[in-house]
Amino acid sequence: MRKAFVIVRRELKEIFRDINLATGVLLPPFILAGIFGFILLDPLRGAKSMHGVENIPWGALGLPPAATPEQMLVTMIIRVVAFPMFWIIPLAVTSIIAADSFAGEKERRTLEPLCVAPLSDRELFMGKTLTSVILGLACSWAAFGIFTVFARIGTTHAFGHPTFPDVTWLVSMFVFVPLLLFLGVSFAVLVSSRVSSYRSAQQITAMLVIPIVALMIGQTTGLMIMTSKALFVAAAVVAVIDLALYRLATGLFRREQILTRW
Amino acid sequence: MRPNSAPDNHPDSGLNHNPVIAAYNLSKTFGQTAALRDVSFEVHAGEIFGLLGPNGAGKTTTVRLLACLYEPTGGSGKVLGLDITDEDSTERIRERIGMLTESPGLYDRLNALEYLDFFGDLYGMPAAARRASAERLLKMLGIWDRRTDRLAKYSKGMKQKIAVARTLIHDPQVIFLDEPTSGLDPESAKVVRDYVLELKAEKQRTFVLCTHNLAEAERLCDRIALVNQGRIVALGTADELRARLAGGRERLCKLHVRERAAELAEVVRGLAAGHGDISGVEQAGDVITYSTADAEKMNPLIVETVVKAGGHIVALNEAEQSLENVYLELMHDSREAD
Repeated sequence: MRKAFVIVRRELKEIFRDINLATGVLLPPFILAGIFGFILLDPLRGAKSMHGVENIPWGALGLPPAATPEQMLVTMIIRVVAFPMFWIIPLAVTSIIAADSFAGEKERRTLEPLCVAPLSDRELFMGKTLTSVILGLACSWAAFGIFTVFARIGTTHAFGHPTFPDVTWLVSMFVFVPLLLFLGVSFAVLVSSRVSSYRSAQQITAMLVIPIVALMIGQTTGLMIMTSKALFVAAAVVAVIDLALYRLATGLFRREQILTRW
Repeated sequence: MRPNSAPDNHPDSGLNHNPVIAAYNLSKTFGQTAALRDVSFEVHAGEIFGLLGPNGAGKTTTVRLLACLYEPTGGSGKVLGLDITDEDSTERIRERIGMLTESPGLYDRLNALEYLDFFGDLYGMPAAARRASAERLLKMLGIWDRRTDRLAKYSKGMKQKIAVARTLIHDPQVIFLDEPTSGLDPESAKVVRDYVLELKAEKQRTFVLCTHNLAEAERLCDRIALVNQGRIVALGTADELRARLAGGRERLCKLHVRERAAELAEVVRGLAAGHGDISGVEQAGDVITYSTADAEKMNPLIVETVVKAGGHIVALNEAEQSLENVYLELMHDSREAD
């Protein structure tokens, strides 16, 4: 797999030299973390009433029945709104790079020299996939670090002591997000290797966000609350899909198809 | 499943049987389109083999099959003794070949050194060797001073030079060159051609050169395969191809005489009247020109007749068929045959 990392190094170097691409990828997670962070510093500012949050199962989120509005708002921002956002944003931004992985190289006519080089189809596929996964994870974790600072201040203010990060967040960020990113990115890379243009690849991979948005709607409406236990189950399912997708992708991956599909 | 049919058509069966590259009835079909049909040839160590033909003739497809980028739909092939249809061999073949692709295909945000270092790394070269090889090639190609400029800033010709350097960075044993001097100025094209000849002479490197540049093919190639519509229509040295075309076709001859040229031209015309094999007798100054389809038989007869008539012959030249004529004639013939 050494050669896969040679590809990763080269791709990261190229991404960071394209100021537009780099800011497009790096900035959204940090903006997101900043926005939620600032809201957490003063959650009651601008809040007229607590109507509309009756459906949220506060007990399942670990909130006592006599919780103050500030505690409810802090908990809602942390566990209901921001929580799935940390899945969507890295997935959305890295799938842009993953969609470009083969289709973009083909359009720029840089793919054939790469295909002539002595690396296996698996190394080529993994090189492309790992670039986006590593970038996505780095951005997610850095944004999570920023969010943690704000969330600890916000929870200390609301609860008298910091309650962030809890187990659910840790499982989400360090187990679920890497597996989800691998799934999304490998799907995008596979699509990119089988379509004729970057635009087509991007259109198809954009659909990846739909199930996450559905989950987010489920969370905000109180239909589905992700606890740490539920996250472990979801992570296991995603891991199985990852494995299946990896096998499928490396099985389907053929240089000839990539080079000849226009 | 990859095909692996037994060779049944060895075009070079008289040559030694350790070819560096061998294609036996190679065929490639894309959907309903036959890109390559039963192509067979062998290339030996230290040989420069040319694939000459118009756009879409099948040159690039042939090279991509031999570089294991495509899987053949029929036939078989070997590179350095390794079977191109055997999936276990493909990586080992790629390690030992270099391929200059149709378009340079550079990563514009890298500089020349970074770009060559990336490919050298993929070929498993240690860092010091990558650096030394890149320096040697960039200096040879005259772009060492621009080594830290981003490739996006390079001219078309400079990009082609970088692609040439990439092809050679790992000192491959077999080198496929698809239009190597395309976009290069004459001086740079000469540098590349000279280096190809140097690698052939000093290191016994083997080349397959795809081109539609006839002069380049003639200058570089030991043998040339003329390819058209997915088939090899002729194969041989440039001289052999010329001879093949000349066989049964008219050749223009020029007879230089010292004096009495007009009178001697009449003698040749008289001879032509008695022989259908001589035609178009013309005289200009001291030169008498004529065409003959059988120069071997007719030229001695003309010389004898002119000498008997008291003529003093200074020289007799046969106008050589240019490779361009050979190419155009054979391409025309192959289209007629189809």
